[in-house]
Amino acid sequence: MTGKLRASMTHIQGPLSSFAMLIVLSAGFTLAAPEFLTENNISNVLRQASPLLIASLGQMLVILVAGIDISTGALVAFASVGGAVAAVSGGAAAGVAATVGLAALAGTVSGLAVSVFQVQAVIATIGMLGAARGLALLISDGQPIGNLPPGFLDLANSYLLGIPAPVILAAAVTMLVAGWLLLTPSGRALFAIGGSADAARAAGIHVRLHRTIAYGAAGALAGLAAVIYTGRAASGQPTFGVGLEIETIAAVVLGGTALGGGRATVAGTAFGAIIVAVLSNGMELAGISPYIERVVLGFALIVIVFIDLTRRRILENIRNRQIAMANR
Amino acid sequence: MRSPLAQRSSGSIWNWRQLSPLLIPAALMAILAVIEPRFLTSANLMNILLQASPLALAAMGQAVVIISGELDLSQGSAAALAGVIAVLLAIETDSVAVGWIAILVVSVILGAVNGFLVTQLRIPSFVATVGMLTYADGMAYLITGGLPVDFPPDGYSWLGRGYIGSIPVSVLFVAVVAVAMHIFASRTRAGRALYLIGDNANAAVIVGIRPSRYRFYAFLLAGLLTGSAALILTGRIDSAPPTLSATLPFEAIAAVAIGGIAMTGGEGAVWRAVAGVAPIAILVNGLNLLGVNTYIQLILIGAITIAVVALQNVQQPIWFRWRVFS
Repeated sequence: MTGKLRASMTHIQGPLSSFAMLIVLSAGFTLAAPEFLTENNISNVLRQASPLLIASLGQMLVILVAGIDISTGALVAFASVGGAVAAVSGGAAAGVAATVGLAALAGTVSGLAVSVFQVQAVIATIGMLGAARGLALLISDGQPIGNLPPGFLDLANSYLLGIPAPVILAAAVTMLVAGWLLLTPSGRALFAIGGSADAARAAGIHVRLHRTIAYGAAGALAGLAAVIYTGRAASGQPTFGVGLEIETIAAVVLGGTALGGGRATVAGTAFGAIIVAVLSNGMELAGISPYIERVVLGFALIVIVFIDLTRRRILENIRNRQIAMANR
Repeated sequence: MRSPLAQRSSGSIWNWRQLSPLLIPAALMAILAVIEPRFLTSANLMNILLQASPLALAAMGQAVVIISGELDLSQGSAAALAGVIAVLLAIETDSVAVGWIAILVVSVILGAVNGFLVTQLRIPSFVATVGMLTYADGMAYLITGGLPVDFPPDGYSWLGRGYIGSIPVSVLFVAVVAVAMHIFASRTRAGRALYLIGDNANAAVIVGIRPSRYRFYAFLLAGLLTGSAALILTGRIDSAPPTLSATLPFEAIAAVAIGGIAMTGGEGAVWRAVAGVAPIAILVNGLNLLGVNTYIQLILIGAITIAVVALQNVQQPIWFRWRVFS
């Protein structure tokens, strides 16, 4: 009974602690800048957080299967530019399909390199980073691509029942990813692969296929984020997403997902993404320069990972000691 | 009949990973020599060496870190930050020596921070160095306000622009550093320790070599080499923009991979990093001569990196099973 309770506590610990951090952070910014806690600004933060949240869920899938995706930002740029070209010539639906499809394709290529050709995740995705960023610059010739059909822009800028459409989209995607990971065999397979690829293989899971699916899905989610970024700027831009991979990794780790695979929490990642968005919004409101924001973000990423790793090591030590006591 | 195990280990030098750093540039040069008459001139070849020298330094730094089993993604912004600080200090004191020392000291400090984060706080190196990348990038922009700083005092750019006889100083410098690095990696205790650590850290601990200590040294050395690359880069343009060379770690990792150094650590001589720079430099130069859009370079380097590492892991590519060479 207590064992079961403890197990479920560790399961919600990640989301819980990141939620607590979100509350503390928001309280701090409210004291520093009273306009932080206005309805207008909250809606603003959530709108800013939604593409980051969607991309972070993708990063989480890759980290879950013991990988890492350094190319998230470059995929967003590539998908944004490619999708904008498709939207200009083929209309809004073609644009959205191309944006998501191109990023999914690029993610799948990374996934194949990692799973079939055994290239380390960092190397494969850093290669993809160069290729995707280069393609984005090549297609757009370094210029934003505008004149998008209005339907394409609606997805990022319209409201439904007073709630911004990207927020609804992000919430829906979060539900979908959670449902996939927790309720379907292929979702559970990702946990097994991240825990131990050998054990997963022995259990009859097609490891290469599911690894590729995780990277492909991460690409598709980056593409979905690109749809929102593109719609918000009303143009496809090859400079989109610089530093996005850092923000997504920070969001995922903040949420309590372990680097190294086998564990992931969807709700935690969602809170983590909102925290990163709150951090940049709050600093903006407090009048801090975007350059300092980058310095803080780089520093914060290291601190976040360090705290997470230390916490994990302490827990492991306690567990080992308990086992040693029980065996005595 | 050889056992499967014997086949797997690369006893013969005639395997793909050993040969790729020689085959790829040779093939590229042959193709370019045929289709572009301006390629195979002594002026252009010297130009390639000149262009390749900062990347060769950065690639050797990256190689040392990769051999020890880690990765440094912060080279580009570390070079930019070191360059910005050094040039500002050189202007302030009106002293070339101060600038040169500052660029190396700042780079080594940034390398030490990377090493500290990875070895003492035990943060995975790609996270620690990505964090450092963001931090250094932000600092470089913050200090300069996003603009290139003024011209450094005369003489600062000697390493980047100077010539001794008809040979660029930077090329000579790279040659000297490459020899020194080769001796370090293959002949000294610390160098050999890096290979053992990268190959099997637990075994290193058993024979009394502390992995954290030598990995820290590897990051220090990478910092020093990144700093010297920054010295050439800033000297060449006689300025220090915060955007100095964002793709430096990306190209350095590509060079290490193409050179045939194992991405998993523990294997591959340092000269291979320099050899791996050759196809990149030849490719970039050839594409420029042919007037191809420079954005294609990024795409090709990215694609080649993935392809080469993928081929390394498939122990022998299909056409090598014909045993042409054995």
